[in-house]
Amino acid sequence: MINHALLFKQTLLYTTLYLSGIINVLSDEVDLLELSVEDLLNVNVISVSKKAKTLNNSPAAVFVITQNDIKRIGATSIPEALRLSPGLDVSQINASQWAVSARGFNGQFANKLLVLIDGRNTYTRTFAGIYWENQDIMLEDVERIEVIRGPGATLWGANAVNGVINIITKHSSETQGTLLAAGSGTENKGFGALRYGTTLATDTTARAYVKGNIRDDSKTQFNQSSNDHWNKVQGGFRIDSQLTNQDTLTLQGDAFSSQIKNQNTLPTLTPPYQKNTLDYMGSVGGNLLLRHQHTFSSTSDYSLQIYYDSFHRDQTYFSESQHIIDINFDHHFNFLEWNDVVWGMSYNYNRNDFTKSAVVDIDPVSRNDQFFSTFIQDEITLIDDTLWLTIGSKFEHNDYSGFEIQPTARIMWIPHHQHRLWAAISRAVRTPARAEHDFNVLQLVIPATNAQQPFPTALRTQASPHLNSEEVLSYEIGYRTTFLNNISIDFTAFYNNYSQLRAAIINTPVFKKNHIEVPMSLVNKHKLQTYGFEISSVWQLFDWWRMDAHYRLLKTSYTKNHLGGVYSVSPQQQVLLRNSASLGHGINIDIITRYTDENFPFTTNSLNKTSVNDYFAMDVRLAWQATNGIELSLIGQNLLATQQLEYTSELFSADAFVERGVYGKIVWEF
Amino acid sequence: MTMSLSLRKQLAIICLCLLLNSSLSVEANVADKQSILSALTLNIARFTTWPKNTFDAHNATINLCVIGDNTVQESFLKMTNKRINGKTLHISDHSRLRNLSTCQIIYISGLSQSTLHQVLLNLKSLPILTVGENLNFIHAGGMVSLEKKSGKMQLLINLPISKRANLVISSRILKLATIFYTPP
Repeated sequence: MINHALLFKQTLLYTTLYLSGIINVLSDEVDLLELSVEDLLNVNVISVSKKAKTLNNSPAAVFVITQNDIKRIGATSIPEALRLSPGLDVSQINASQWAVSARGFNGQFANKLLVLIDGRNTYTRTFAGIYWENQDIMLEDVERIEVIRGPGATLWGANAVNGVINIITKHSSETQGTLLAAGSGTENKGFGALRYGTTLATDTTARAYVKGNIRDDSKTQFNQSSNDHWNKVQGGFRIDSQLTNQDTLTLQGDAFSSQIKNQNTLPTLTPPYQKNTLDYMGSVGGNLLLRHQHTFSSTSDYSLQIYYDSFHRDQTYFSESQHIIDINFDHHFNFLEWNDVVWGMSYNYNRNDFTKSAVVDIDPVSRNDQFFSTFIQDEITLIDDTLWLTIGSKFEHNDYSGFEIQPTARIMWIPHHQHRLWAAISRAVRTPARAEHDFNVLQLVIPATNAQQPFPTALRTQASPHLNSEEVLSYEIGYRTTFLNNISIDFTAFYNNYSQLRAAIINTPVFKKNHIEVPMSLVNKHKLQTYGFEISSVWQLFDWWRMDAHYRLLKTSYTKNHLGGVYSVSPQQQVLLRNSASLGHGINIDIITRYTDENFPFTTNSLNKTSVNDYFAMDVRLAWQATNGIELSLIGQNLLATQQLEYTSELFSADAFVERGVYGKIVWEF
Repeated sequence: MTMSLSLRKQLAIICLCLLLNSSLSVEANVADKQSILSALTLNIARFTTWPKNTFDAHNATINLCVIGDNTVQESFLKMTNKRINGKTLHISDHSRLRNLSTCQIIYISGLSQSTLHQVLLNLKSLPILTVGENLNFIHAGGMVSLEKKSGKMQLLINLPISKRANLVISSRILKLATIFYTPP
């Protein structure tokens, strides 16, 4: 009840401010156009956080998080930055693990979102998702993060079912000089980053960085340490060379090593039928990427990219190694003036090795998987500067589900430069994961209770090699407007029709020596629909003050979030309000308030339906640009509660509450 | 209790913002970068002379083509219908890099260096005033570039490029600029 009263008060507050904003803006126009060149060259330039929409003309639900946004919210990891995007579910499971998804189906092992870092796919075949604790970058070197909600399969490929996140780092010519960042606080115990950028030769620039962090434990519901602290060291580099006026070459790479403390409750076949384990998970990895881009003309170019990516991690219940080689070719050209064509092809080789345990049995332990794909997309200008039709499809072959086709048709209409309308229909698939295909997992052992049930019952998910891809047919419409000079609104509505979703079926129980085993296997059975809308608005009250407000509604025609249905149900409603102000004298303040509705995570280690209560959260950042090169900042995260449960893990990990945190940071650039 | 406290704090901060606003708007000698860039582009165009045959006798408009994201486009749209040397300014978005030869002025931002090279190569010798940002723009064959230095904008002009295009930029502007003689 208190929460709702707070929401009401805040809405009232922001509305009042919005209104006072309009009055001020109207009386505050200074006409630069009346100044002479001499005067203009004497005006002091201030950098403002205006909302640039580099993908304004794309017929998709796109949101761009800029470098300035990342800096101004004090994000210390990629998922924290992603909280800014409307329509994304971002929840912290414990100190190191995150659940991130778009338009539902969230979880630690969420499998319907594709994440690319500088063109490198962070997807792991193990569970068809992303190990967020493995993904990091020098956040100061990020140029922008493009968040595309809805299917992006045609351009980006399988598993871009509900969204694509495209993280793009700056060209090395834009990161020249030294940047030193360091900080410490209650949850972020200590972190530091050093980047050095230099010019290696005419037209060749480079940068290298090293960073590290130590994060504190979260809390259990009984206010004790949940033993999940972790630390990580990562380093990397990027070299860009303008070989000729038409050719550029980029070589980049990263390597990391982390130690993650883990508290798990694992099922056992002997009394007491479960055991708590506490250990360190080591995780190491790295990647190396080479990209050549050739520009034939201003409307024709190609890109050839090859990368190697590898990681190794030791979990209590299995360890895994992955080696990936990926080759990708894209070609873009204009055809007959009214066609803008992109086509491409790629090949991906994936070698993975596992070691099994009493809980997870894997057969085969090693595999070599191959993946081929090709795509073509044409943007056809139907009416100059007004109406475009984009059609395309991806065709791919993988070793799990075979041949897949993922087409899309999109239309963009700009009747007036302040109004943009678009609509899209797409099909996308989520290909099976190695865990579904080859893993035998002991999920839970229910102890014997009485004479009627004298033996313990073990639930085991069996390998399901006949599982096929999950499918979605997605319908989207969108409207973007800047009908008033200082306000922009982006609205998207969607209806997703899923079929062939995985479901667990219970097979005939088998009596083993001292227990009854209930084998479950996965089949493509469920159908469900999700629908809703997302709205994001930006109000630029003044050059120095901006307010953002996001809201999303997501309805899921699905209630089985325990055995039988094997997916979570995401919060229906989400609200984000952000205030960004530059107060002069180098002082910036950002206040973010978030509301997340009740969440229904899926879990395999309990037969009970679980839910996470709705909650409010607030982050505040106060920063002072002390000199041209030195910035001091103080950041408070999750300020509204001493500790908050945001999500629960699907597999064995204990529930962890995220604590209120405060940290200070200094950034020195020279 | 903690919630209402932080709400009060937030209120106090916002009130502080409102107070500071009145003191900030007094300082008129400050503006955001993109507004200055578009105003400078307009002003430099006013001191540029195009070859006689550029405009046919009936055409009373001058086309300013803008390549860039929405903040760039919006900053130029404010100048729609302004007059330059007796002609009405027409602003259009050319981010798709098509029909650039219909422009008399092109403002370019956000292109990769290779694409920038190709765009400027296609425009060479056409009587089009090209305006961009940073020294890279001059190196790629651009005419007028604006660069931020010590908190203010500086003007860079590549004279041989404007001469090749038969454009005459007034000496009033040239004396305010750093002149480059990078041959075309």
